[in-house]
Amino acid sequence: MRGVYLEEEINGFIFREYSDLGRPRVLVLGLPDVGLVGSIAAMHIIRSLDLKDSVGVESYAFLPPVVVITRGEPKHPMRIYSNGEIAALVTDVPVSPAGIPALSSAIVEYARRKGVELLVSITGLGSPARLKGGEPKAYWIASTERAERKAQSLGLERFSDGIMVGPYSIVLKEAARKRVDNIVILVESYVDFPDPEAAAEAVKAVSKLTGVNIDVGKLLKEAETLKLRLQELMKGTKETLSKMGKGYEYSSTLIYS
Amino acid sequence: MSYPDDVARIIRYFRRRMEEIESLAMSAISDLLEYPSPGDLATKARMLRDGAIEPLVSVFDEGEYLLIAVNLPGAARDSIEVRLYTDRVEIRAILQEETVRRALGSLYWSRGLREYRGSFKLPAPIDPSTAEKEVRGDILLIRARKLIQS
Repeated sequence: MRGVYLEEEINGFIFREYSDLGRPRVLVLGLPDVGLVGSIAAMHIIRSLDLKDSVGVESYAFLPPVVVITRGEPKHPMRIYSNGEIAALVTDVPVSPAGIPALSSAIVEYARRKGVELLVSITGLGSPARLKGGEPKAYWIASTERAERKAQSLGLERFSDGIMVGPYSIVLKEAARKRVDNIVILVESYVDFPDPEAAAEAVKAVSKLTGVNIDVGKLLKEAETLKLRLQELMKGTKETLSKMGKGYEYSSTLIYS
Repeated sequence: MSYPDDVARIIRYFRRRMEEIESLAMSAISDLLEYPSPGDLATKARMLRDGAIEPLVSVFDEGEYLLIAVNLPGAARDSIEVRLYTDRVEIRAILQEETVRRALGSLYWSRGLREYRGSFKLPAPIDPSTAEKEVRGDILLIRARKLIQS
């Protein structure tokens, strides 16, 4: 938490820019969710592209009173890393369910103000088939026609029918309302276990969207170690997801096609 | 034993010790470079209590059967012990030293973490005699028929 030179408050969330964020064209969102797919993918992107810690996101109302100390330096638990071209948001703590609408909406507004061209949300799509050894399949949802054209280049299937619960649902709705391009990458994943293999599929999609090659070899090689490391974050996330009504994702929609 | 055999044995001994030192150094460097998070700290605090990790468990209702999935990354496959009761499942498995060292770094050295251990209540009673077990990667799958309650 070095000297802050730019601070913006949106919906009760303060975005503290302490090193130059630049004008990233893509912002990847890695919030803890099913299988921790977004968190694992975003952290891998940060490490692979050597993104720099640029912005701390704070809310005394919706985030727990936590400060992260890294090599003696205090940091916000929710941070945006950037190399000026690609940025990624990660958090070390789950957001309280009550704060999710405000946070999701604030992220979209912040991205809009910063001139971000594409918001990429990464989430797991809980699939019991993963337990049977199936390869994780990825899908997409887009907020605008322009985002839809970008997503079609992925060569993935469009997610056609279902219910999405959690922060990414509000990001998608707000992005559509504000004409911000948002692509949600949903990858079939374990419901309650960290899933680095599913995260690797999401990273491959981000590679295609950005045109920047991000190798997933190291992520897959370290999968077992990561799963062991992330056991406790997964336990915390499970509790938050159940409070958010994540179970609705397994119900069918009212309108059918 | 001949002189060359002795030399070879000594070289093997020193190579093993060097590998251990290298592994310790790598885990210490990894600890310094890692992004520490409260999640990590909570993990470490919990494990400090008893030196065992409670595994993640997922239970799926498949109508007549319950499918119980237990995530055991880093466990030695042949060490997995399962005890099934009508209302709960107990799991125990030995952790592989090298994986724990890479994943949790210095905690391994301070606490000598050795195993997964946990007892989980089932959402419906089962008949343990019908259970079928299978290990897929780092996931233990147990499928057992539900008991029909009168």
